[in-house]
Amino acid sequence: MRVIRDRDEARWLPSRHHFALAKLIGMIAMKPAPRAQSPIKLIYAIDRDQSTLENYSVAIWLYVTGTAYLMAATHPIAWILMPWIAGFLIHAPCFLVGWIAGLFGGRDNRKLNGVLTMGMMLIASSYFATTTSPVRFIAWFFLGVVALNAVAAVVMWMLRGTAAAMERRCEA
Amino acid sequence: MTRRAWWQRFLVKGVFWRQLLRWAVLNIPAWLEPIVIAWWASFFLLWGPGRRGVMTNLTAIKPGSSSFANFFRTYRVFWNYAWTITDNARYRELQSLPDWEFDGFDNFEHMENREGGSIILTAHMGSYDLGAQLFGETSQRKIIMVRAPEVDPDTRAYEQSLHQRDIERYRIAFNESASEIALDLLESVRNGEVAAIQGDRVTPGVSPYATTLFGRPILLPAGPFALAMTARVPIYPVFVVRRGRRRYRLVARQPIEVVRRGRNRDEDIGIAVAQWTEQLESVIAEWWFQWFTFEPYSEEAA
Repeated sequence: MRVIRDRDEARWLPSRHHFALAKLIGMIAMKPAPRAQSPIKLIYAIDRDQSTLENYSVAIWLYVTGTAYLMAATHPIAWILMPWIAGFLIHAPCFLVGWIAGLFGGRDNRKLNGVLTMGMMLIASSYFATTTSPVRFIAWFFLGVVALNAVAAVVMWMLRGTAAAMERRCEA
Repeated sequence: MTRRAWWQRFLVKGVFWRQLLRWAVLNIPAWLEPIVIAWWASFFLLWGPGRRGVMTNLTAIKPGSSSFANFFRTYRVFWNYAWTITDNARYRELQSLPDWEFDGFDNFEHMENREGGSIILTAHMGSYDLGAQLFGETSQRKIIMVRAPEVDPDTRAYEQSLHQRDIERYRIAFNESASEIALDLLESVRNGEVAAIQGDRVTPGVSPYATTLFGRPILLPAGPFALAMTARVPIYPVFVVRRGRRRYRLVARQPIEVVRRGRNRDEDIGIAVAQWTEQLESVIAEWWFQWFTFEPYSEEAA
């Protein structure tokens, strides 16, 4: 695994982010800074799942969206337990998919589960966006973020040279 | 050999949970992890003895704190514990490193550059396993990590099988018999290796030293101090603290010298133990939410 030492700006590197929108935000936020002279030494791991801000944001967003959908689909009497039940149900399909993939020899199934989770959320959002209940606003927000991420992916592809230069500057 | 009941693997210290964690690391996307960990941390709050143990310890660390507040603090301890064991499993399975901060790097360098071996004294805080793995990768010295064996035999076998993979980078010695391990460690330290020992609790069969922590009596292992005195090597207090998601700080403090001053060996060890408990108290007071001691540390409190 690649690491970058004593460069605080490295935390914003696009390669430390997963989704295109987060990569783009990271690129905008990244400011050139001299190598840190602090007595505390820093090592930044270059891993696409490393960004705290991105991962917590996506997790909270999915949790709120998933909980809202479950509340919309159930009787109000069940709502009191829904925040806890939703926490389990959002990741429960990963157990099933991982088990099936394991039968076919799959060891690392994170990508497969990621695509399927987002796919299910997309299908659910498409459905709830057509309803008249207030949950449609959450559904439209979900679809809007997905669309924005697609636009960001195009922008990031156009800026791939700049992103690579940023990586080289940090590694120097 | 008696056959174990099938359900014992599902007990809180059973092997099922270790296997589930390994499986989760390989199946849950990173951006779902905060939900998964928040949920499972709340699930493990149902573990009464562990929850009560942490709450009891919190009453000593935070005098005057209420049970209501300590319940939520206990959740924070469980939450941090879940993250650290996940990061550890992720490193083992995917070689995925977290971000690191080194505080007291000069002490770390001092240990690295001095002639002869040394002893790292640490606590059940943050990811000590991950810290040892990092040390094994960055240091020229071989590290021997002393740890208590798992209570559950299946879990012990599972953990030992995992450690076989890391044997090139660092060695793990399970603290099953004090006399057997003492000679092994003495030889290793004299050969320039580093022994990493957890100095915040005693396990059965290990000689204890009675002292106080946060004003309550506690038994700490006397072995590391006796070893340092015999081998004439310093003890480096090192703590691995979780600073956030996939971010750890390695805190290396000033070394403790265990010097034989007079005829009373226990008195000399007592001076070093007092320095250690002072360090331990300051670190636990600051990062109480990462002290993973799920039993009351003091008999008196229990």
